[in-house]
Amino acid sequence: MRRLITVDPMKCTGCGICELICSALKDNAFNRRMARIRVVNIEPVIDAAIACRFCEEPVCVRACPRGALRQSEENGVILVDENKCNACGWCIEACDFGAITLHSEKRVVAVCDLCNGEPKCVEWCPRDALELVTLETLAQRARISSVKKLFQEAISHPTP
Amino acid sequence: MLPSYAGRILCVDLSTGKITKRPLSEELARKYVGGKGLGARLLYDEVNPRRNPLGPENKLVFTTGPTTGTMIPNKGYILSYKSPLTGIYASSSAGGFFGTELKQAGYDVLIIGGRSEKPVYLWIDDNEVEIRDAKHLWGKDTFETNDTVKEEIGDEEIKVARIGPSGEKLVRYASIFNDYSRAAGRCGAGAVMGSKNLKAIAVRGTKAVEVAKIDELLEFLREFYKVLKETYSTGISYPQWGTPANLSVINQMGVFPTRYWHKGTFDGHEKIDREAIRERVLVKSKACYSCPVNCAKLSAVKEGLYAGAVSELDYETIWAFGGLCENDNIESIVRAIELCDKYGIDAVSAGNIIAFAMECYDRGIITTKDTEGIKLVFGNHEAIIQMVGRIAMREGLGDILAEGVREAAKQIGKGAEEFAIHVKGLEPPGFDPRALKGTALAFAVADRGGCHLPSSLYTYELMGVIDKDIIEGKAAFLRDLENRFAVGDSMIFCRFFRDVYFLDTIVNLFPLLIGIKTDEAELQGLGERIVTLARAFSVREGLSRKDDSWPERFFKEPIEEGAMKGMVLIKDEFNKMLDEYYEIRGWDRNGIPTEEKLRELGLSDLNLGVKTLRQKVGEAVKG
Repeated sequence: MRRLITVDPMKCTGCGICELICSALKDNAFNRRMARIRVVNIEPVIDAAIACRFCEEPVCVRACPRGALRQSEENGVILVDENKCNACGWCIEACDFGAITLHSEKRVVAVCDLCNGEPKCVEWCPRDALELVTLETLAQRARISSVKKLFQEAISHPTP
Repeated sequence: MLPSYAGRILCVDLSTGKITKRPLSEELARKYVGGKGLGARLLYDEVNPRRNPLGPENKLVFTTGPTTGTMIPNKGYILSYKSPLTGIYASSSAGGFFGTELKQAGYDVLIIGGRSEKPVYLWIDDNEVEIRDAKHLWGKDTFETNDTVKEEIGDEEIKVARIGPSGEKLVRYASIFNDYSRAAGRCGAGAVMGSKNLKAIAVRGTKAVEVAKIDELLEFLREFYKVLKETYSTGISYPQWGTPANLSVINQMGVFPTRYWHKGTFDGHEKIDREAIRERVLVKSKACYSCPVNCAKLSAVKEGLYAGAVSELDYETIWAFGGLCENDNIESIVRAIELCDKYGIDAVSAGNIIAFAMECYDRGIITTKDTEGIKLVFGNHEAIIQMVGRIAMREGLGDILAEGVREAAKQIGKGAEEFAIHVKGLEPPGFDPRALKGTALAFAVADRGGCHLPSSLYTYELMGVIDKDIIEGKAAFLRDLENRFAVGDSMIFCRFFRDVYFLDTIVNLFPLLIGIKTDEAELQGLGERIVTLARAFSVREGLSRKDDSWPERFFKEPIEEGAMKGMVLIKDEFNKMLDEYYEIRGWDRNGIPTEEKLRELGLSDLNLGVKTLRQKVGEAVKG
């Protein structure tokens, strides 16, 4: 089942540790502009990290004129052939989430690869604001919480 | 250059428009590391003695440190300058993202001197540096300035350090802000920036920060994160409650200065403490770049008179506008801090000065005639809000209060000087030194004036790590803390990590980060060198023993209410601690570093200035 990294914006503090660990592990240096997950800080209140959502039939793959991008059938990860990529940026333009990074030094694009199924940003997030989940889990959670809200009274004071 | 450094110093002369880049020598980096140490040294060398802090000859020295830009939790940068509030050495630090951006642009240090003829802002785009016109920004508040510059550059991710209208108007405790609410807050750096006609510094840094051994550094961090979680302050207290965590405890102990330093306890404390914040205004926690602790508590007022106010609440600022002004309206405090951030002034000084003005009003020294109708009675939160605006824009009485409490008291006269509380012109933070013996010494000798941060000794007295009621051993304890934190400030560690960053932590970190070995003895020496260097700067400005003290009021008037009622400073005790402190610092009885000490610390090249001054002081004493 396809899994992706989600963020709880109320838990996210904007600290950027996800970006730092990403660049440290992928590029052996610290630079958020190389990271495949990026934090958006909209002052004063919004902090949220965004990474690839591994869409079905991803537009970024379709947009690439050089066939540098393809999607893994196994886990939906977007694979970049760095030899083919010439940083034209069409994939960046196509992505609705800005989840494709133009690597500031290599000048090719970089996309979250989920660190072989164990994303290190999730592991290092100090507030557990990041999570690796399936869309099904997200939907299920939303269902449960909305029903709980609706029947709060009945849940806290069960009567026959 | 050593790993973790960018290797360059960027110098901007606003008088001539000349922009130069020079290498940061490895020798300087090894001797002073970065941050506070490097900043103090460059300031000493770059600014000639006895110059007007608001004149073109003063400089703003921004220094990042070896941890800046890395994943090691850090506070970004330190700013060193001669303070327009105290007239001596000052350093202010700010968290957030600006320091990282500056380092990623390729500079460990940014030095700004001179004075532009017209308002300008600086645009640092990696290697390209440009002085731009800022006519359209002049008069804008700090938030608007931030947003306008970003829009103009066309990049939302750049970082902008800037001043508000108060910096332009040279309010002597104006601050420099970066991000929305992170400030190089105390001592008036914003006024220095304003005096240079410099409205903002925008930076885009795209270069990576590389360290000596990244894999081992990440291993170190994995362990360090565990320690952070298991430590009460960094694992529970700061993340959950932020700095207001212990407000009620401090109040209960009777050292929560209330009603302009009369009482040690505030009846309304429950309305402004951590529970009240959580219940009434807290929105979420925020963090500086690279920090897992998220101490910042973003708060917003939902309804009533102050609906719409948004700011981050801290112990000191709540205390200054709360207890010290006897104001128990937390919503008004959110607004007062928001206004300080917006206009660009230091909320700790502002709260102190408004409480001082309330005391003047209470005594009839100033009247509604002076305040233009504002009823400046203790507890009047609407008056506080109005006064923040007047001070920030230097309107009416605010123009006098904008000078800082020492100068304002002098101008107001009629005995006001006798009850104005400050050390070296800096309004103190919210811990009553009359009941904390070591703290009294610590604030009195703190390098930037009455401040808790150079040593944090108050924490150890409050927690009972050391006995607050005795004077024995306090001088040595203070020296060790000052040395340790001077080293930490050079690494660019945040003070809130005081329970987890020790010298041995730094010894372990050094080879992974910088690629060289060090030991505790060397770091002790570094700390001592930095403290003495900061001292030397101020001594060169005329500082001596007479300045390392409290106003007479604290030796005569005891705390009036609360658990510490009756406590007062005792001159003999205080002087004994001070003598002891000078002695173990290797400073003479007048507080001037001795030539032997300077030589020992590798600072003999400072000798001339200090010696000349020692002679001058000697002559003055002889009369």
